[in-house]
Amino acid sequence: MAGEWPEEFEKLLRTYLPLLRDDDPLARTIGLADLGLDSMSTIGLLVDLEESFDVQFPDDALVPETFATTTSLWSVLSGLSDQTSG
Amino acid sequence: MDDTGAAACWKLLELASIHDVFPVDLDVDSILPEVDWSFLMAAAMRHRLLPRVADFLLRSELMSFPPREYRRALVLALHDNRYRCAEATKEADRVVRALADRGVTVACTKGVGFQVSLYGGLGGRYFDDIDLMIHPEDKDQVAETVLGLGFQAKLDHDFQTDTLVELPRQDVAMFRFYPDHLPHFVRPLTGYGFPYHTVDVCFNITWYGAGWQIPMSDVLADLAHVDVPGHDETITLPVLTAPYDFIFTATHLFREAWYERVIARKNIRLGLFADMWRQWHRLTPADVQDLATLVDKHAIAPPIAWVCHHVDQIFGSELVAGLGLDAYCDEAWLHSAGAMDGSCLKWTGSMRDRVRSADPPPLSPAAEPRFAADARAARR
Repeated sequence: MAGEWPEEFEKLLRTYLPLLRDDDPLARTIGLADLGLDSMSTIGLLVDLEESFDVQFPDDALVPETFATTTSLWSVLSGLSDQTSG
Repeated sequence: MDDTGAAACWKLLELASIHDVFPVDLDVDSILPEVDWSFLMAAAMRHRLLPRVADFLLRSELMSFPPREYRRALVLALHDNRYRCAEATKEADRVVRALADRGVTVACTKGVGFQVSLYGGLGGRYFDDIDLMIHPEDKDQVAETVLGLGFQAKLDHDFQTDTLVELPRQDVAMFRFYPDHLPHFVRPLTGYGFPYHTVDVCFNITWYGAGWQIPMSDVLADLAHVDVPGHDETITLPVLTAPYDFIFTATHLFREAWYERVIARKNIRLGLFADMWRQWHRLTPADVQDLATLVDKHAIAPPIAWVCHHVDQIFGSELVAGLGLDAYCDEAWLHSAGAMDGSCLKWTGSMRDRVRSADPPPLSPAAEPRFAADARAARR
């Protein structure tokens, strides 16, 4: 899965997944909730992602589905990053 | 200060919170001369009870007891609160009328109604926001209407600069992830003695994701009304019926006292338990029967029992017995709390200890008690 998202994203995301061991790969489709991302930490992750990638998630992206899996989250974030850089 | 002085302070605060005047069966001279007024003023401020204490002492003709400067501060706090209540009532009326014109069903909850329905209409209950309850399907229309009345959304007041600033991203996200309230609306004011009106719109009588839900079509099917005396005129506002008002007061208190996220931020206030006590004592026998029926019909006994037990513990009332909720009062549940990470926590001591403490209670990990899964269903 390497190369699907930048290392910076994965490194930050891993800090919010207490049930994911350091040597486990970050699977694309496993539920982030199953890796320990709860609602409160989702809010912390959101703020950290916005600061790190210099984007702002629109209101309609602030829903549980965005934070359901690594793929869903990166899909929204990368779209925002493209808009910013474009 | 010795223990006697502290005990007298808390006794006075508890009496003032639930009684309009000093009870005739108690001896004033056994309590008032013992009060350390510096301690009492600090505790009353922490619990937003300054206007309540002032109203209680004035109505009981006991205002001669506090030292002169504290007496002045108490009376000013009461008058300030009365003014705020009166202005907010006018503003609530403006908002309610605008919503009604668009066919939106709305009830005023908490302070703007309680000041009359529970506290006698003399400004004794601390007033903060204009709280409204609506159907969830009306939230877009409500937001549009309130914004059209000059309010602004997603702003917070920075008291240092006395300006409105953007709501922190964490708070904006909270409203999105836990959709049971709209982000607060504020309307800046000039020359009013307070900087802005706040409107807080709720569209769930429990909370988002809880295992306990009541259809808002039931909650708002029938509304009561209160006549609120204002500066120039009496204003009639729609409010919840007494049984649903009781339920909402209980679920609100539960949220404030059960979740670690809230506990860590602010200590629970005595006045919220007093609201419950006063709610109970205004119910007619028919209201009590209706309330018990609603609790059973909507299967929301656990949080109601949790709150009623702690009200009984503080004030010596019998709400649990009155509603037949003893079966929901096992110790593990009554001393549980919901952790931010979705696990369960416990606290020790009594709720009275918690209320009296200036600090949040120490919480420690605990096995999940009965009912807790329904409380934090959406906290994962």
